[in-house]
Amino acid sequence: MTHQVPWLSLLIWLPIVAGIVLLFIVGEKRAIVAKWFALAASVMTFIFSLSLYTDYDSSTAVLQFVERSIWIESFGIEYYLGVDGFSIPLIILTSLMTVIVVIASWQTISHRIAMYLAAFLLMCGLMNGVFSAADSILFYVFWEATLIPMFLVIGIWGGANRVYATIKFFLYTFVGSVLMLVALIYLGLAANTFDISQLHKLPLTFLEQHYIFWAFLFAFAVKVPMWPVHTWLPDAHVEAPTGGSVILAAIMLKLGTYGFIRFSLPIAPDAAIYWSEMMIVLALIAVVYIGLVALVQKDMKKLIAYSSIAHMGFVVLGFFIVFALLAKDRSDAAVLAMQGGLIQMISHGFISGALFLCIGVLYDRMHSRNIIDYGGVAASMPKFAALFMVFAMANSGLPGTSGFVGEFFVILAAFQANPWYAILAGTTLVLGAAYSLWMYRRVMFGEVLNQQVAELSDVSSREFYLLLLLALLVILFGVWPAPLIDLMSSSVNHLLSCGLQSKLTTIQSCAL
Amino acid sequence: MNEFRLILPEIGLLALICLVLVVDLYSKQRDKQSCYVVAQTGLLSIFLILIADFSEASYLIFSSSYQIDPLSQILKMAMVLLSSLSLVYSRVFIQGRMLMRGEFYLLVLFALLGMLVMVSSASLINLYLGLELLSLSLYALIAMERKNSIGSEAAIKYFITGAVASGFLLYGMSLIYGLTGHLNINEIAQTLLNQSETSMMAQFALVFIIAGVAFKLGLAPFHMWVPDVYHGSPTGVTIFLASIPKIAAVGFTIRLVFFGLPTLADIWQPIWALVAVFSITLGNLIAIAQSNLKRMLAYSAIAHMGVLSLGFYVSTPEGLSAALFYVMVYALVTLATFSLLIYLGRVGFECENLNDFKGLGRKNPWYALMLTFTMLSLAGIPPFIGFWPKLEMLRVLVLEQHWSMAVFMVLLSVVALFYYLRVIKLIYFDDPEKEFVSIASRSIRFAITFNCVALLVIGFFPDLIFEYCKMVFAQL
Repeated sequence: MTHQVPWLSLLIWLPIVAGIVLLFIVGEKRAIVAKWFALAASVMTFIFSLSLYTDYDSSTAVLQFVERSIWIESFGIEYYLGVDGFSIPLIILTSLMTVIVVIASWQTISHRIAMYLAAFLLMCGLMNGVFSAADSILFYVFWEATLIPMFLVIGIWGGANRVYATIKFFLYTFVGSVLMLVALIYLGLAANTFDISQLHKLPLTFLEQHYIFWAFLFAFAVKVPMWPVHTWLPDAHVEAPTGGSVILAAIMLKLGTYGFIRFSLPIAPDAAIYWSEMMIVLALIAVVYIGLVALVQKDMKKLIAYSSIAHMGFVVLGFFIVFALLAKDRSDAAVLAMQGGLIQMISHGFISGALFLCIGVLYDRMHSRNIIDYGGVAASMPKFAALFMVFAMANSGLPGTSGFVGEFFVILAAFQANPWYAILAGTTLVLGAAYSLWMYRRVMFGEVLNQQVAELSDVSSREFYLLLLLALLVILFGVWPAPLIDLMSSSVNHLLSCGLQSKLTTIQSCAL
Repeated sequence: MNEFRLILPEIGLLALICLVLVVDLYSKQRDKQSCYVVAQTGLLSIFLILIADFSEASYLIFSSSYQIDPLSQILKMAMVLLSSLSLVYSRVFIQGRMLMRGEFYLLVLFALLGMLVMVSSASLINLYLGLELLSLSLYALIAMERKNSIGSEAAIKYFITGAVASGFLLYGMSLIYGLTGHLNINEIAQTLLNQSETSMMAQFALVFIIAGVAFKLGLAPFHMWVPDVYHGSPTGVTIFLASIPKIAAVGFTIRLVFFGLPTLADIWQPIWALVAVFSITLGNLIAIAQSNLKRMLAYSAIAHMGVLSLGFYVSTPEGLSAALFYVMVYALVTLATFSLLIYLGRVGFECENLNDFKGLGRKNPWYALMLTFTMLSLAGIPPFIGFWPKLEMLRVLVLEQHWSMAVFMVLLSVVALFYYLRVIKLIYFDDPEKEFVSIASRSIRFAITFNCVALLVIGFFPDLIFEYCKMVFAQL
């Protein structure tokens, strides 16, 4: 278990330090240096993150790559890092998406590029910190700190209504997370440590669990976002620059669902059971109602934003039908549901990120996000049309793409919990196909609308390989999700067998 | 130890004041550079004496009227150090402006002396003496810019309301004296403890005392002077007045209310709760409507002091150490914030309206970043230093099971976040309307950078400050 290289610290601090260097030493004067520097830093981070995958022992659910030292003695806060099967895929995803964003903004951002790239490097390090923190206050510090660069990215490089969107984004997220802070402090005082795994074991009364569950719910539901606290997301997405949208959709939303499995479910399992039906209903509202809302959007980015909310509803659904399945003693289906949710998180990261990149490609050429301004793009941009097709199909859950795997797992499990859940959740396949493909048809096919469309140049090789990479990943995980499942399975099993045990009955020892 | 040896810092400061007075008389320079150099050297020497003499023991000296204990020593160190820092900023401000320069240093040092006396008094007379020395110096400082009508108005306002508050305080003290027959704080506490029931008189006195203290801290409903004084005073004075006297006021409150009247806890708790809720709500809501940064910071100060008084409300040793931690961090952040106002202003143009900051991020990226640091610190966003006192305050509230207060505090901190974010928005998201001409002084630029980067660095190691705040109350 001894690891010589502090991989996790490296994954957190390398991009942060690189971002600071970029901001203050490289500066805006030599844009090309800034770009290559950012690319080198992000690629190195990504390569380091892969070593987590290769060195990870997936047969156990204990935290690995642990780094632990006292950080602030008077508060009892530790600098305690460690990862398990839940966090490794997300860390790799974060590092990968950062590389993609850096490449994607190679030519599209001309205004203060060093600062822009620095913001994404900082965000990458901070989000890796969120996923690898094993001390709850450390987690909170990273969690809040990620807001600052995103706030600036939307506010500085965003669209016309960016100030409104970015302040709304910051305030919405902040309201939820301060309540989480109160809950974390309560737990920390009760357990006399902020170590998350100790909080999992902390016995709590039913009433305490209710309060804690709700405090966490406010924080995570806003982040996911769940209906009815989702309204910041379409605004933020529409106004954000392409890179901001990609990171927001691909990673930031996952912070919320990650919070559910890291905090809500294992710390307040009884309250989670009690409220699971409400959560399922909220998730289904997100899937069905938001799916319908997505259908009528005129703005492509808004459409994808709503579709993100609907897809994230699936993740929440997967996590909370687990309780109904466990009650019916269908633990195999429960594993399926949990894994479905987790795969959906990763897959949605690829797909939504890629879709926002595609819209970015169109926006850079036409400076419009309105569907109505497009038509017949496929004629002038055939390569782009092919790639966009893959992502639109994946977004609607076509078998063979990663979008299918997660949704299928969840629906399959939902059937065993309650057929109605499955039927309602299944509408997403119809609705998803409807809004994704209808948008695709209106933008790509039909008459060439105007001269501007006819003169569109196809994707450059930079854009092409970027999208191709994502397309290959989407198909790879659609056909062969096994590596992902293997990586997570022992953590999932541990959560289901130990983490969700009732805290009200006599405490059973559940040693790792 | 010799009694006079123990008050060496105070004696040294008094000697320094005399020295500055003489130097001022003989100095021919227009900007009184020599006064500044003498004052700074003196302050640093006093700081070194404080560090060298630091001991965890507690001494009652001069017929038990003066107390040297960890609390007073820590507060003195903080105040001397921060005063010295504030002089670095103020010097640049008073250069070139029509201010009485020699007198400025003198008054700041007198105010500091008053504060040193305040935080280590063990008798009501000394407490009052220190407070008045501070207040009188501040009245004069606020009116320094004699030709400025807003400044004069602020000074008069502060003088009149301050005099009324002092009267309240004195009245409360006299009632306590009449009730117990003692001026010494420890003996008052002892006498009150021996009385079987809390008399009406003691409660009556307590209300007057808290009213006086709340005025000095700038807590609602005794906050009326805060925005006008912050706004009306020359920025070089505001920077001093907004930060260091708050530390002294906290020390004063702890001595008078918590060491002197501990038996009245049942009565002061709801009063502090009320005052805290008033201040946090009013400060944060009205700050939103401000268009002048100095006024906005004044209302934010009211809100911050409200949060701080939650520590008084809890009134356990941990609550008090949280309040102490809070005020020290607050003073540091406030110094940084106002230093940027000084830096961006110049003779004939005070950079203080919110719109003056539009586009700063593009014209002067480094100082824009520094201002962002201060705003995020004030808002309490981790990893900036402002987060930790907030966390500690929350921890104490949760520990004592004051749930609703904890939730109230965090929800209002969201409101506060809005107006701090608005400043960041102006800096980064708006286009510049004019050029920023800033002061070229190297010392202030260095000091600002040092001060603001410290907000981030101490944010990673809050124990640098908090450890000492905890130690002060460890024996209680």
